[in-house]
Amino acid sequence: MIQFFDVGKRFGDRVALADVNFKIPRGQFVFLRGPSGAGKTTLLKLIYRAESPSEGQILVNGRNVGSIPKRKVPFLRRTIGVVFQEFSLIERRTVSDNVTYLPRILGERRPERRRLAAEALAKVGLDHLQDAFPAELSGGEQQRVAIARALISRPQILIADEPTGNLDPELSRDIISLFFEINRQGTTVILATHNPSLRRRGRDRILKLESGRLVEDRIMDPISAEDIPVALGPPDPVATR
Amino acid sequence: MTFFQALSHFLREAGLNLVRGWRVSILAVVTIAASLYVGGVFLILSHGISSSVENWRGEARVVAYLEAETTAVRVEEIRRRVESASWVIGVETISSAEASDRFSETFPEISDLVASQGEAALPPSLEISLAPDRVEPPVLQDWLEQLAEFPEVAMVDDDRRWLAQVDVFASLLRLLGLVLGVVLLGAAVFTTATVIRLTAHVYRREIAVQRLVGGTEFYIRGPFVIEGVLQGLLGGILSAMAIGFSFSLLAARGPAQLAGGLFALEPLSWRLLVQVVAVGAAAGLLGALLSLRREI
Repeated sequence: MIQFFDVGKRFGDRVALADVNFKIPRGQFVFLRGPSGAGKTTLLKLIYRAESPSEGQILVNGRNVGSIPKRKVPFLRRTIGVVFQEFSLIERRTVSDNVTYLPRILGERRPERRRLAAEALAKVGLDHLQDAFPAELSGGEQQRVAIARALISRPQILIADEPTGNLDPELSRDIISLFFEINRQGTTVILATHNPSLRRRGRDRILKLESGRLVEDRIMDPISAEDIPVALGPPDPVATR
Repeated sequence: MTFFQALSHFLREAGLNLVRGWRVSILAVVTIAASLYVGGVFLILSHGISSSVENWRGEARVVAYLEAETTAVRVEEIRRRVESASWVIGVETISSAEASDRFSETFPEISDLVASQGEAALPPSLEISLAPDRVEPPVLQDWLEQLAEFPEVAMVDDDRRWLAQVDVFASLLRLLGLVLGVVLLGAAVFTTATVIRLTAHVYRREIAVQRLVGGTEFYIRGPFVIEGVLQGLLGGILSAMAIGFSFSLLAARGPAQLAGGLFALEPLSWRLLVQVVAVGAAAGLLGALLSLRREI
């Protein structure tokens, strides 16, 4: 579960986020929308503590992310998968090695790493490409490898920052379908995009940011397929316990 | 991940970094080696000179040159006076003839100069061996001045005076070596830091991925620290080898004495070579830590 209480973030005089409040229950699929520069990336970075909030509190699975000591941040990140628009794959390493950074950090031996890589790559349909190098893959395949890397720790939360930004519409649909599938297995997915035409499903939620402020919070009704607004404002601290 | 797993990972990654960036790695290794070589050579030279001085100090004598016409009786009287001092451990009387013989033995090419002057070409002298630890320096100085005031004593030559000058020279040499070594080592640390910084820049995307997936700073920085230490170790080993090679060249030139007897070549100690390697590793470590503070 992720909760934002009056969260603000400033970079010098520039306000990137202000008074952001929401609560994302476990297993929800959230589209984080807004134009470029609205604060989407900053909001995501606050969740995995690549940035610290200037004000307010952020709870991730009950832990106040802002108060986690710097040396403990890696342990938070091991519970959150992150996918970027630019894939962030290392060219000189094989697909398998790209996917198994975390198992290597955790000291897993090579056979176990290969097994984990195969498992994660199977989830994204690329288990036959373990020994390929990123340069040999298409853009869609590279993004799938990046998703497999994010999934290898079986994270409770998957964050995707414009994951389809470098892909054509058909590949984008495939990738979004993949995120839906991951979400169906119980992972909370937060997908930031400035593309309003991405396909949605019932109960998917939309958080819309403009100029650093949360201006819209809607959930699609699965029966009527209409959006139901969610009241903006701080989450109820009692209800969130 | 256990400590040994981490160490194995660090060594493997650091080794790969060294191989992949071999050009800049060689630059760092050679800079460290050169600085340690200069420092080491100066250390050996100054140590050699200091050793010579110590050896000579044990043999140091005061020579009282007597007037040529001093009678044997008077020479004996002066000798007895000299021997009465508690810090005198021996007095040898050198006659004019003995002095001439010695000169001819030491400088055979110019022995004619003395021979042509006859037996009394060189003055007789008293060679006085001292035990300086038995007397306070000012007392000894006063005593030497009194000795010089004997009408029969033409000149008093104290070996210890020029030994002190050689000692000062050795100290200056040591200081010069230290300053040069420190300056060059500073350059080596800077070079290592720059090389590590460059490597970290090359791997910045991988570092970002490691951070993203939950790599600790220990895990991320470890390979770079070990890379610096390896560069330092290699530089130290290279320097130790160069020092050893230079030493063997020097040793081959003369049996035990070089530079006109000023420099005593003592056996090269393993301890010194290990120290050179250790200083190299420390320089590499320092360079790596400095670069990590700024770059990663």
